[in-house]
Amino acid sequence: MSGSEGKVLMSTNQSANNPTHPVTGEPMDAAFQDLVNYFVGELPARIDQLQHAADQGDIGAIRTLTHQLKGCAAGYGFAELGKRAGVIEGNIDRTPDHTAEVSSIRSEVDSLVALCRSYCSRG
Amino acid sequence: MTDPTQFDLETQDPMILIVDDCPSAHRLLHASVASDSMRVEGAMSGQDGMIKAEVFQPDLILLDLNMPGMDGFEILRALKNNSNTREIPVVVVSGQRRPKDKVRVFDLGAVDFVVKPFEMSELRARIHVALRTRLLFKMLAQRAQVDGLTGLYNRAYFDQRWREELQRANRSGQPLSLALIDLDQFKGINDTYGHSAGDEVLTALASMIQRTLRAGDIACRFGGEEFVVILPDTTPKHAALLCDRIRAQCETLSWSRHPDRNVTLSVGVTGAESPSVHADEDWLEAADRNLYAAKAAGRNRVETTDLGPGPIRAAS
Repeated sequence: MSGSEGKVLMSTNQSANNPTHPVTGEPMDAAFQDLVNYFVGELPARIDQLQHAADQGDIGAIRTLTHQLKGCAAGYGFAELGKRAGVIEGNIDRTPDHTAEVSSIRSEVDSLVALCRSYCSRG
Repeated sequence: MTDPTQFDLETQDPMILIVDDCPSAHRLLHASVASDSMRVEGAMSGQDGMIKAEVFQPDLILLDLNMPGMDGFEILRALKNNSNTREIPVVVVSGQRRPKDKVRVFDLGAVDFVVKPFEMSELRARIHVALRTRLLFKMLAQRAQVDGLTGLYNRAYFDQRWREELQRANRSGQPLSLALIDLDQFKGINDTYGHSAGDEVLTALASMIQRTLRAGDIACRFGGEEFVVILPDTTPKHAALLCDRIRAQCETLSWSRHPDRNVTLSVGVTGAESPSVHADEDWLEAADRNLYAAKAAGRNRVETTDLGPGPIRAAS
């Protein structure tokens, strides 16, 4: 990030009449608001899964989780999250047979988890 | 009644099958098509996707590539190798961006590739294009099987369908019958009243045959003034009764272009209680022989052969 995403979060207009996206600040219709709420609601589980995988040294699970985030986060308006997840997946993929050591990507995973948490705490 | 003139191309909302291991991707993909009156089914794994593709026969599959177990490439290959799912268009929706992956899925038979993250409006537009193309292919395939004048199935369809029905009857041991229907002295109608009058007779007769047949019977234009009817699960005795009803109905039709000239038809029927003992060619030859026998006996009649359990013999 950017950091800019965190700032927007703090000033998001969440009035019932004029809901805006927590990151982009763009107006949301009811259907998209439901989607965003669903995505944010799922983040704690993703955080747990990512941390567990990192603690267990399960590089395959980290790759799956970041691959999924890369694919869908931007669709919910969380582009930075998707981008960072994609960087981790890319770093894993660049190692032969995806055998990266968790230690080499741990700081990136922690940073991703922190970003997820910032979105959760907003709600 | 089977009516090829009432092809059922767009009577139901199209069904989309989403195959993706990520619930958030499902939700997003579902939302992308929710406003377009589409039915959506989901599968969380490749194996589940294969089963649901066979069972639901969706109009389109949205397929992820990167999944544990059976990945998208394997699913695509399996779908295209399965005659029940081969024709279902597949749009790959994946975070894989490498050109070689895209080329590979197109080689395997995908119709499009949408990179994640995707814009909902773009995905929706691509889905519409794929569904429109699918509809056009279906229409072309069906038109290729229909006789342009009468709206009945054509000879090419008969050839294919007859083989299938014969195989089905051979497997099940159920009876099967076949009828060749030929208008009597049709050339005279064409020569005397013109070809448009002849076309009117053919069209009216086709319509009458369709109305008289039962659900599951298959009427085709065999060529010229000749029609062929496949009668599954029907003994030759019952086929003869049904065809005699068609013959009698034909006598009652009135003709605005030639009110004084009645139209009759002759029918050659063949059938068997247990079709497995008979060679394919026996059927058409026997029906054809009976048709000529009906003509020789004075026309406007039905002649039937029961192929029976052994050599061909005439039915009483």
